[in-house]
Amino acid sequence: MNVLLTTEGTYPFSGGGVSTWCDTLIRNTPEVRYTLLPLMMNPHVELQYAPPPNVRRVLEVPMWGIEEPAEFISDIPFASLYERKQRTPVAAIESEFLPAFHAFLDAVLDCDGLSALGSRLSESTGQEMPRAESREPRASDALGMSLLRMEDYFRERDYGTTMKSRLVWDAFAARLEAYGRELAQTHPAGERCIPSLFDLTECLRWLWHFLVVLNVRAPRVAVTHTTAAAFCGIPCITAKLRHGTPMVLTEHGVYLREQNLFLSRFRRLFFAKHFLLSLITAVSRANYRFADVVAPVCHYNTRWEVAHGAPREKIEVIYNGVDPDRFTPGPRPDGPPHVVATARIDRLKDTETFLRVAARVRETHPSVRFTIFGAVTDEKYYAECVALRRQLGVDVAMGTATDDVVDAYRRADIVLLTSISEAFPFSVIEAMACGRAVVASDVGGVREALDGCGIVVRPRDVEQFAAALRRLLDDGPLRAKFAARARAKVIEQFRVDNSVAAYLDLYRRLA
Amino acid sequence: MSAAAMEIESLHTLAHDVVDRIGTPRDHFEITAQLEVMGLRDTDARTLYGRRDLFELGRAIEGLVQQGAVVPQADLEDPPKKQPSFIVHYARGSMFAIPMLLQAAAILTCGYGLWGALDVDVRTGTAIALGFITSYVISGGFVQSIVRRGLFYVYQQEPALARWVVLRGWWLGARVTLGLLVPALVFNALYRLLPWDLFLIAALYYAALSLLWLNWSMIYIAASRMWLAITTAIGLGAVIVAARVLGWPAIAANAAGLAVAAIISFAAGLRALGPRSRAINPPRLTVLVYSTSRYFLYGLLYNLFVFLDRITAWTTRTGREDFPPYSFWLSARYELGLDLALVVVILLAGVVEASIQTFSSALVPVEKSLPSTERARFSAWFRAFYNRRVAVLAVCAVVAVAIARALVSAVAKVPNAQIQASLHTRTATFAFWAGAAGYALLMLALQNLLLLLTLSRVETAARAVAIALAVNAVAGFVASRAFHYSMASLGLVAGAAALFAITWRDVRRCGDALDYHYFAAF
Repeated sequence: MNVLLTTEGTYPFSGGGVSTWCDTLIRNTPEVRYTLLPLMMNPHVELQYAPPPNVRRVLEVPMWGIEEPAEFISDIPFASLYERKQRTPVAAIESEFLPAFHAFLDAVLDCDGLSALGSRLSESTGQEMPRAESREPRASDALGMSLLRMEDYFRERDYGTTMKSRLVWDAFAARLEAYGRELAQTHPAGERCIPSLFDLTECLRWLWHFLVVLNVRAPRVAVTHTTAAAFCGIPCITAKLRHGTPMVLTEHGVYLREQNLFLSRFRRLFFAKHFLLSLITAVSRANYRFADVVAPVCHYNTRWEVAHGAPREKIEVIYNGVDPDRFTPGPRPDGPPHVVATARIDRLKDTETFLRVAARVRETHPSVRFTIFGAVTDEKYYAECVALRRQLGVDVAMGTATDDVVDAYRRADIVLLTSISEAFPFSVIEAMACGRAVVASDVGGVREALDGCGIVVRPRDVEQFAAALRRLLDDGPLRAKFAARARAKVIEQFRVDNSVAAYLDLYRRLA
Repeated sequence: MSAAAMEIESLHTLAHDVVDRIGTPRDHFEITAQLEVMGLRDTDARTLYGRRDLFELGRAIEGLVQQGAVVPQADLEDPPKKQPSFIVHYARGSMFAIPMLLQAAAILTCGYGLWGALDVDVRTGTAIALGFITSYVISGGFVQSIVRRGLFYVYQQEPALARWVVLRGWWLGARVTLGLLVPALVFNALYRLLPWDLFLIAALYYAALSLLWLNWSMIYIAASRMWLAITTAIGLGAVIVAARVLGWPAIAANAAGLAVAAIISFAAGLRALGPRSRAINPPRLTVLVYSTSRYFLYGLLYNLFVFLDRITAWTTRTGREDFPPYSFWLSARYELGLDLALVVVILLAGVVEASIQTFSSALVPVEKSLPSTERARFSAWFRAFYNRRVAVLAVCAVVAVAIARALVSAVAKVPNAQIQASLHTRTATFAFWAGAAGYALLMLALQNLLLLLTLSRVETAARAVAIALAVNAVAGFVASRAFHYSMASLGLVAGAAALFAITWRDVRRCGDALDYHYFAAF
């Protein structure tokens, strides 16, 4: 069976939970032949995972760091690409591309209009207004069709010539300007809803990067599988519309939620943020719309999916799994009590709370050691954490990744996870499989994993975290009880073979 | 306080907290995402705020924002970035001219330049001039391509790729430029255009200077422009030591100086490009060549334009004071006139640089300040900016020509018989005035060309240079053949005037749709 597996910013070029999941899935399904389609932030990154033999092809799609998509379209001779450039006259852009582009923009802005305005009106007037999801299918269908038409167009015509043409700019500017004026009448941002020239420039440049994926000619396969409700889902959507290819969507984190968080930082560029979120919302919803099965890794994710129009009957939760033969309880080295985290140094992991908790616990349990195993992904944040560690006067080892994660868990009495955002974290179920007591923040699907065999704590609540740790440090039998239950739960519910079998079953069912 | 009132108060507090973090929210989903990372859960939404879940709580906060009950604080604008002063820009721009200045100063004071010397005979001078011009023209395309693509990766903070693309471009350029010596050699063997000694001298200078120009492109990318001057100064020092201390003949001294300058500039460029590291996943070579080919063409045409009048002048016998034995023969008088006119270029380079830098740094702030409905105002801003810059440059050009003329008077007092003999001639005087006018117009045109390149309109720039080149060729050819060889410099004047006129029109057209052209310039 041939499967197209699409990723965005993860496998096989980056580490992390999604990549671990992809690698595990591919290696454990040798009977499936995969074509990988990774969307990359930058083409100049090294493979972090050597693709297994059942990966037939890797169709890399760099979104940034290129001047022309042609630089990385390796399966089309240069002469054809050159010819394509010559075959892109203004008349073709006007008659063939612009109608699809208009439809695309309408779908993006219409989808947004419903979510942004409808809910607001219902709140302020008290009347029941149509929710986003009630009209979502129409906008998503229109978006899907426009993507298909644009993809068809770019099989014959040149991407750069078209997207940087005056016609496209004028059409884009006129549509967004009209939209901004309309929005300004109702949105509390008022006049800031009218885009500046800079907003327009940035927005269309972003679009140029995000739609690069339309240049890819993905092979016809039995099933497509996207690992996020994101731009990497576009080839799956067009395959569904073109050939009726069944589509599976697995969400680890919720892309839309993560992008809302990320783009909140751009508060000064209100319109640009607004447009980008509209685009991402529309694309995410189209993913939900066209997926035959939405398979999130935990029930928690379904809240966002349903809120954005994913029908409940399409959702089948498939938990992440670990290999209980690899992650086994082992002897803990001698030494003082040890609290361990396996998490990269990143704002979403809330390393600061870890440090504060360590400081609080040390007040009553001065002999306890604290270690964070994980790479630094945000240097600025790491510097802030180092400063905080100094300020708190607490000795926490951090900033170094480990090659042997099993050993890291085995060194722990308690595994602590202070993240403020998670899906269904491998670090929790791996620690559980290793028979360690876990204290973790109540985010994402953590509660689903730890229910009955660990302690979940309100995120950022230093006192609650410290109390939970003290309780476990002081109560050896409780730790042992949690550890035993945790491993049993993994063996029962979160085994990798269960997880893989569920996906394989899904593929077979849909193909 | 009742439970309901407490709930409302908590909701207001929470709403303030949210908008303090994110400003005006786009919708309730943005608020909900924020609530989640603030540590709130559905259970908190129910118990603390009386809402079904976080989405409902997000809607409630959005409602408060909509009603104006919670107003986000106005976002503080970033303080405007302090822009470098005109003097800083001027100094940076003039850095390119320093090698020319050093070369001229060394010839006048010591009698030796990095290429050429006062006491070389016209025969040798012809060979040196031929080597110099061909190296400058042939390497021009490679230099432009290397700089363009190298800077692309530098701006993307991809030092390994910048190094890869620059060294690959350098190596390709070196092979092609040096490889062209083979057909030139065969051609000369077949048609005997030049005697072998002249051919070999020209080939030596061509090879050494081509490598030097390619090395300078590396230095330019690594943003250590000072090294252009440093390598020239060290090379000149080596020439003077070789000639004066060691008593080497001028050509050998030049060869030593060029070798030293080339080696040092290559080492400096290589060092500035950073340590050796593997370029991961570099782009397809065919596409890379294609995408930089427009810059290649532009560089080739522009450099040819700069020297076309000399080629035209030195390939005719009309009005020659001497008897050229070959189809290409240097006129020291013509060269001296044009060399003195080059002062105009040296003086104006910094003014042009200041214009381009000011334009680049003003674009984004002006775009941010204008709503999309005011596209015409953006164009009006540009037109005013552009007209002002043209006027400033034109005034500076007049001043620069006056300074150049004053310098001619100063040089006339230099006690060197050769200079005196060449300078006080109608040829040199005509070449100077035509050259000064031509270079002044060329700098006005160059300002336009750089504005077009800033907006990535390289095809437009290349087309303008191609037309101007044709004008230069036709006007120079006709005038030099019909009247006097020194009137080849009228080709420069006509070509530069045409280039200015065409690019003036092109820049204004771009300015009329500046919003579009700026968008497309990425």
